[in-house]
Amino acid sequence: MAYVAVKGGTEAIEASIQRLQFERIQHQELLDVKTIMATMRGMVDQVMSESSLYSEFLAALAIKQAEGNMEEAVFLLRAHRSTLPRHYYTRVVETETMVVERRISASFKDIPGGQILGASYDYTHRLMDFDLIDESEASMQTWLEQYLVEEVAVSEGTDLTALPKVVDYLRKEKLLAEVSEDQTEPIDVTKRSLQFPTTRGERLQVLTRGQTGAVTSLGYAAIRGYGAVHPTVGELRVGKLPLTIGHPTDPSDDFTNDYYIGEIKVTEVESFVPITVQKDNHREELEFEIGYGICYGQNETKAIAMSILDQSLEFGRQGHPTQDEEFVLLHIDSVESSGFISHLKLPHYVTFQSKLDSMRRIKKESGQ
Amino acid sequence: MLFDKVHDTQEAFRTILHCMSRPGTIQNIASERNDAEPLEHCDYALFLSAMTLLDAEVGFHIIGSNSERIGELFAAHTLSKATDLPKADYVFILQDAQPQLIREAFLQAKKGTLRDPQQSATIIMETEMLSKIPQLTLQGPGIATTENVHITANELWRDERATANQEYPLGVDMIFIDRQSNLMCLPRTTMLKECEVS
Repeated sequence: MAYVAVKGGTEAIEASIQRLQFERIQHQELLDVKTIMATMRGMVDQVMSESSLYSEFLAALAIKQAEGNMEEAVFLLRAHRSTLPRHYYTRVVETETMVVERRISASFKDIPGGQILGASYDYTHRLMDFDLIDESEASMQTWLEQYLVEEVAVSEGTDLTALPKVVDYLRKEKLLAEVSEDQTEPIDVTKRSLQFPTTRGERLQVLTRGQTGAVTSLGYAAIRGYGAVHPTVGELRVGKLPLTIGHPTDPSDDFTNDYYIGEIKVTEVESFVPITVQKDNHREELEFEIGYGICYGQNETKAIAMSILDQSLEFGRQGHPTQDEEFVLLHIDSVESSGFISHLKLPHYVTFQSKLDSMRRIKKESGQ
Repeated sequence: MLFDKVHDTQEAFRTILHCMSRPGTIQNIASERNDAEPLEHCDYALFLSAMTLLDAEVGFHIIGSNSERIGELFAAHTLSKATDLPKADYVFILQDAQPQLIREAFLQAKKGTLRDPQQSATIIMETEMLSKIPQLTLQGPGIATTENVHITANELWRDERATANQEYPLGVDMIFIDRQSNLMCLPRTTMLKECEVS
């Protein structure tokens, strides 16, 4: 009986899908996938990041299909991702090799290599630009040509591919606790579901594919009092990372046979969080812990919030919700949270009927 | 050789799945491919099953005189890596394998853990011929009453399989492939008995 409701309505469902298509194209305006790729950078980056699939083209297509609905676009791209065969694993990437486009530090004014502002909304007035209503192809071309000439004229010789890390400076001064390198193979959260307690690798994976809004909100909560983090952005980088793979059938695993397969744009954040530690001689000393955040594309808020949550989950022991890995990790995933909320729309006729029945019975028995 | 990587392996996968859920069923995985050019180092059916089961996420191990060549062939087509026996997800035992090495294969192959018994190896064994002539009686899940089969191969595997599967749910699952591309499966749940001579 319970299945009657589920099976029925085939024609109504088909009509609903038709209606959806109609809504998308009724105004007879077409949006090119190429246009989305070229102009919706923030959105494409978010969809790629939350879907854990780096393809600007497919993300743009998902955005087009979902009419700009983020959770739907992420759902589509995640579903597509799950059908793809996994042929190769890239070599471990050192972010020192990043081709930097933007790099700032809130901790030190003079960092080796300098602060590089790059492209950012941070320094703009948040005023609506009504000129964009009538932006023309010609004005765009003129602006571009002029900009490129000036840009070349002022660019000079900083090597953007080998900028030192700010964190190395603190390490040299011994202000950071010594940590040994951990070379254990990380557990892939897309292949094995989370088991608590998690490893740091698993946490970072879940955080980096978390919904931007959810990661930002929880990161904010961790600073505001539902956590105990007071971070300073040690370094924030946006740039491109080169990726290489080993020779697929060469058993010798020789690095010189590696193939370069392309580059991905990422945002990387290292936050410094001061903590007080009890030393052997009963003296309290200030030390720094590091929170790490990284995500596909340029999404600085998410990367910073991620670094806060990483630190919170790694070192937090005071019982705040943002230090509870089950609370954070199980709720920030876009597909999981939106999926569960959406399932409430599915027919619950039978379960609801039974609740109604017992309510009616209780009322009757109590003589109302 | 004409080979459709998507459709041929899909069909082979359905066949293997069917045979695994109905132990004792013998089906042909390459009947339409009899005209295909023979491969240099291994039978088409073995190659097809490797193409179906292997990818970059799993490791395999081959036992037999030509294991290196065949391993290279499998690796080149599937991007799967040849590994040591205790790490292999799929173990191929070719027809000319030495008895001592067959013993080693069953002894060392992954049996899974009590928590994750599915993390065990599948052993794919090349045999001379598979038929329904009564030799072994099979019983267990997926078989209504009993099934009779005849497996023409070195009989060593039967004792070794029994030893490997003694601690259920730990154990290994087996796939047999014969020279005519017939395929039969023995999951770890199937019990074997010699047929009674009537």
